[in-house]
Amino acid sequence: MGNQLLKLENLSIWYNTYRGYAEVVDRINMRVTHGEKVGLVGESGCGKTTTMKTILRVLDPDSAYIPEGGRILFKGQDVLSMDKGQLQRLRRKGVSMISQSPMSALNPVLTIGTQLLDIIKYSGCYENAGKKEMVEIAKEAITSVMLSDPERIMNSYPHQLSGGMRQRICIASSLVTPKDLLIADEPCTALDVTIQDQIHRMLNELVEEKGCSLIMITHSLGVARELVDRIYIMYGGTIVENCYTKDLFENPSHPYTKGLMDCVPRLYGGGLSAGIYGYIPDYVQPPKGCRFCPRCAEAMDICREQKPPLYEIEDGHYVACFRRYAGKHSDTKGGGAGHEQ
Amino acid sequence: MNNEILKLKNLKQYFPVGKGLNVRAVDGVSFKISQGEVMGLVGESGSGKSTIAYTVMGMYQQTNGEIIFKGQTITKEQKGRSKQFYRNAQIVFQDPSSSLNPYQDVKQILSLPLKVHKIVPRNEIEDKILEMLEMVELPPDFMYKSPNSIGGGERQLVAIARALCSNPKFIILDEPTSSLDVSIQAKILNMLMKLHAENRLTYMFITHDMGVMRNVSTKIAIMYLGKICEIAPTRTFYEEPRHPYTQMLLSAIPVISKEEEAMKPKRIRSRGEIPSPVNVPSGCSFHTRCPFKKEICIRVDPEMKEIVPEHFVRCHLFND
Repeated sequence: MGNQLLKLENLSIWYNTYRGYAEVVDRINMRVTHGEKVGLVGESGCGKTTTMKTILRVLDPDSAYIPEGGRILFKGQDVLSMDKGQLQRLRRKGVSMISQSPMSALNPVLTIGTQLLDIIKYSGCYENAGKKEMVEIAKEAITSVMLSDPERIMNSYPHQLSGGMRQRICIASSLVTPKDLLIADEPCTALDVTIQDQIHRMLNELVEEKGCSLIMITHSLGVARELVDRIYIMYGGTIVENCYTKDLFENPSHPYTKGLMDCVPRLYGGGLSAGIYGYIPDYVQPPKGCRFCPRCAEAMDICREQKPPLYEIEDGHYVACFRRYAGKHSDTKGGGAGHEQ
Repeated sequence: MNNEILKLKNLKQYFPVGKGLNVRAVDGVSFKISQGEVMGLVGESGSGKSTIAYTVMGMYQQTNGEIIFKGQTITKEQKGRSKQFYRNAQIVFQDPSSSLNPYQDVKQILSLPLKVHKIVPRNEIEDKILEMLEMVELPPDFMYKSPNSIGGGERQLVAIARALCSNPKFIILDEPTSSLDVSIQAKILNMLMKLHAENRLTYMFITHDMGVMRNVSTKIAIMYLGKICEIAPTRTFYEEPRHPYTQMLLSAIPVISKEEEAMKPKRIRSRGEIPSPVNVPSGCSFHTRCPFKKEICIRVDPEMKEIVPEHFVRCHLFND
């Protein structure tokens, strides 16, 4: 794959806590190609946001420790060994992130106009532009997120806008300068479904129009299904399944993915599922083998001992589960008794 | 009718915001809930769902209209509610971490309603608490845990147990699962439905999740800007949504299967935002976002109309 934009290799992230290191992200691999829309789906506390923040290197190095062996490659450059100047360039021109709550992402004491113009001015993308041109660019950005009356919005403060409008402004400000990668961290969890629907449609159009890649972090399988091409399912700091969106919904393979799907109440009724037994693992003392195994109904002996690697069970469909591997290859050794299906 | 638990008649709840202006949080809502029903109240944020709940529970004094609970009318002059009322009607809040006192342990939390309503003699309180914990399937050692030391789902179970202590007939569930993950949400919903069946309860279930609603409720009311725009039994509601807002809401839901995709009304794409409840649009309050807007919609507020038995819609499209 030649046109790889972002690659995470064997990346772990540990948080320093008073009980010891919490292994919040455990040896994950991810890749995003140019122009691809990728979803990172998981429940709260599974390490989605931590991973994304690490790509931008915005976590406090005193509390977040990245063990040896992990690498983040952005356009072939190692993000983890970047110096200050390189990092600044990465954040200015490479990657931008839309946060979950638009209110805390915008400065409450500056007008929208000031904030947008700052971004345009200091991004380094429009060095020769005069003030007037910059204002034009800002207005264009506001119109591009389907807000009318850019003049008025430039002069208003964040609290004068509704939640949906604020999130649109955040999207506008992250796309006002050309970027290669946009990370959207649950941009619509705080918003209503009808607004969410509009913002997702708009985000989709913008990303396609500007030709940048998108990583969509979400806890909703439905949102991922509508928006992205490929999905990573994350559980307890590990990637448990990775495949194209269509394959995931036709053939969910990891027990966690299946459980998660059963939990979503359906519009056609059919009753409620029982949920997934148990709770997410303790990160300071995580399970030794597969992190899902204490909650897994299909766990075998090997699951408790070893971390399952990602197996390619079908073309482009990877699952980190010994059970799936055992189902595919009847010659596996070390599995529990009678697991062949 | 005898089996009516709660009936609202033209309930209004306004909040003054100065300069003679009012936020019309609830603006003339009427409906009834019968024994054993699970009525779903669905709407976007700011539509007044929670305000109805709080007004019924007596946390706000209604501006106008009547609340009839088990045949007894609560008028706007009446301040507070009787102890008897709270014995029969309880509420579970959205966020269990703020509705449970972090300085008390579960035993203290659960013993308060038992003492207030004198459900059991004092020396049997501990046994009763164990029974309550068993009812929501929490282990007995939770009695001495503080709400901070247990998970979000378990906290909500404690809140549910507290609501059940006085053996109520009617419980208002104000978005009981929206702060939880889906795998835990499923567990809580199952528990709620189990308790509903075992204790012959009646629920008013507030949520914004249409998928949850489909699976738990018997009747659904859709709210928009303080008014109800559609009420129907759950099944017909999902098969034939009538009001343009309902259709917009349904078509905006991200779903995970083709079967569900086929159920969504295709014709409507969501647009616009919910207007401020201080300046409610004239006529039908939805006309600013409605794709089927007619001239009359801007001028006249439509009446609630029963278009097929039990299916009420408030829209000019159905007034010929």
